[in-house]
Amino acid sequence: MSLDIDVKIKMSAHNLSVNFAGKKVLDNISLDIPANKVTALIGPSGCGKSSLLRSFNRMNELLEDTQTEGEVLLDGSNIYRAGWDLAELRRRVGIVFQKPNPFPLSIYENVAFGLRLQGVNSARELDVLVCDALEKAALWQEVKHRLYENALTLSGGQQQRLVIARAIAIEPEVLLLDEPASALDPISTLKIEELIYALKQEYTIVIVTHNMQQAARVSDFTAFMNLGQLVEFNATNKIFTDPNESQTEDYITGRFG
Amino acid sequence: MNQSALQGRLLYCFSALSTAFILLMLLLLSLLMLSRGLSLFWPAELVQFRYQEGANTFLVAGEVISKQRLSLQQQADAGYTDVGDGERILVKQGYTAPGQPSFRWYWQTHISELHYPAELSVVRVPSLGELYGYMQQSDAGYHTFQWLSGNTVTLATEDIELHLQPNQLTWLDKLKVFATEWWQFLSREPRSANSAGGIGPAIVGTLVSVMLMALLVAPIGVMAGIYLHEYAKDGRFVRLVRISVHNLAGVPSVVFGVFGLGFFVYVLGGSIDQLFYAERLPQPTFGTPGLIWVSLTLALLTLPIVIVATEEGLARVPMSLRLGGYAVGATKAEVLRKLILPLAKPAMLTGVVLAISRAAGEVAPLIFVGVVKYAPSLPISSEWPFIHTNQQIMSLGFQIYDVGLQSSNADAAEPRVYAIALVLLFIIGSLNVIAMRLRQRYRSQLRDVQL
Repeated sequence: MSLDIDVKIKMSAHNLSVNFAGKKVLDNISLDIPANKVTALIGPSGCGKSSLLRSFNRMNELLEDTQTEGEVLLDGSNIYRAGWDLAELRRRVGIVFQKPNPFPLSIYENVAFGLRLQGVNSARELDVLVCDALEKAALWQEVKHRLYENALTLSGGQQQRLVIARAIAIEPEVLLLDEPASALDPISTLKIEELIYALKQEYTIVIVTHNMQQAARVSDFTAFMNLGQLVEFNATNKIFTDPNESQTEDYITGRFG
Repeated sequence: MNQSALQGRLLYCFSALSTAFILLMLLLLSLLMLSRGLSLFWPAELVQFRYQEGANTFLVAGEVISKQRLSLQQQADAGYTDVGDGERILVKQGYTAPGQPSFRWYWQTHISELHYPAELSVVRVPSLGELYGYMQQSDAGYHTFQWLSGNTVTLATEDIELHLQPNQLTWLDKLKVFATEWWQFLSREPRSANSAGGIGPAIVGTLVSVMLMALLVAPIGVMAGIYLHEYAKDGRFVRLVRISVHNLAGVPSVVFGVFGLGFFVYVLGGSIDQLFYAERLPQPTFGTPGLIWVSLTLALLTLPIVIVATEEGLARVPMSLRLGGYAVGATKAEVLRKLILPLAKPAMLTGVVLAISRAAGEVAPLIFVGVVKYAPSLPISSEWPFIHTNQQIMSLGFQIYDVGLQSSNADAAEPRVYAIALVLLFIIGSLNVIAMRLRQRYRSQLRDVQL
């Protein structure tokens, strides 16, 4: 489904179908992700929104026995084409999961992990980049005096922002967020939402959320999915005020899902 | 009380009783080993008495080892007559004369003039063993020793390993003797067909063979574990391999010994001889039981322990951590090397330590592949190549078997068996403590990682 508005497209799925061990979870999905905008994927549990998100950087195949048909374009190049360097793809398209998963290393090393993999080894350069990423993730003020403590000593909300800092430290082009705030308390959720708002200046963001208000608050565009199909995709304002499909209206007004 | 409550009560009682039973057995085991093993080197009081046998009387000196009372029925069954109330004592009298036993039962009723003379000595000389009697005079470098029978012998000072008068030793002196005796037991070579002397070579043999085994089993086992858990696709073949590995752990260890002899010693060792040591044939160099085959057989025996421990360690690293690694652009090898292996390392180490402690106690397979009753030289030396892998070695487990069952002198052997068992238990126990420590460290590291 493409948009009427004139925006630059960063990623797009064309006729994308995904099977997990023979069971169809995504059915012929076509969707454009606009650059430097926040796109929210909403829909009832099991509708395939997380699977769609993970197919944007080929994470599905790490988790399940996956068959993918169709294509996903990143700047016009199909990431499912044979020969794509997956590590390179995931550097360009970062992902943050629902539950914070910091490495059992120091706060500093968590953020530096991806940088080191890219060959950044000079201590001075690392210091600058780590500080920068933590500042962008709005965590610097809270951890600047304890950078060398184990990351697992942080609170859940701090851990999630650390994971976001870890993801943006390597400067991805696209950031995929899989219900990043659903395991957090309201204050931490608010901080993450503010963070998303700030980050969209530099990154293209796709966020999966269960929370209707959250989708309305943070996103520019919203895709509503149901039963593995894309039902409607439009500007968030339009979706939440005047959806074209009755299914969408039913869902966002809480009549089902 | 209703029925289900009664059942619960019964279950509780039986499970508690079983646990108590196990605890009791463990306690008994350690107590027995400790008391019997340690008492071997505690200087015992020496007794002297006059004994009447038929028309003759003679003097006896020695240590009282045990006391016994035979009932009338037992006396009659054994054909003893004129033994009073049937009470008798076992006395360690050492070497007295050619053909005389060093341990002997004496009937209490024929004993008179029993006392504990302060000057009564125990002397140990390598050629004769322990002597109980009196030290007479000592000239430059020579001592005259007299038995209670009146016979004397001249002993050179350098031959005397030990000379004690235990009846006048204080508690502190005895402790000193105890410590030096233990040290000598642990460090010296065995004598008189393992019935005397120390167990130094057996300790060295056990440690060297087990360390060499660890060097062999650790890389192979860990790599196999990593392959099975991280790389192999979960197909029928891998499942078959995994089942075989687990079954390997259940194969009786003596079967490994037979395999070691048939394959390692004859086939592998024989081929090495043909290829590299042909000039020495038919005298075998590697085609005969030796240290390297002991270690290889032990490595094969303990391989499942290391593989299973490695796989379990890897399985405990949560999936979310792997995904986090991939999410920042790490390759599979990078995720494995930088995130997973550091977390799984303590589990692998635990596996290796457990393998070592299992191997240290093995006896049966080793008899086939290179452990012997007496090895004339140690497997390690200061000469190139320092570890002599083709030499036969001694081991603690086999010493227990040999001293306990093959010794001609059961009374002398028994306390030694307990002492060797104590040493073996101590070595294995400390290894297990190390393994436990490692596991605890590993657990505390992983505890905070959310699954």
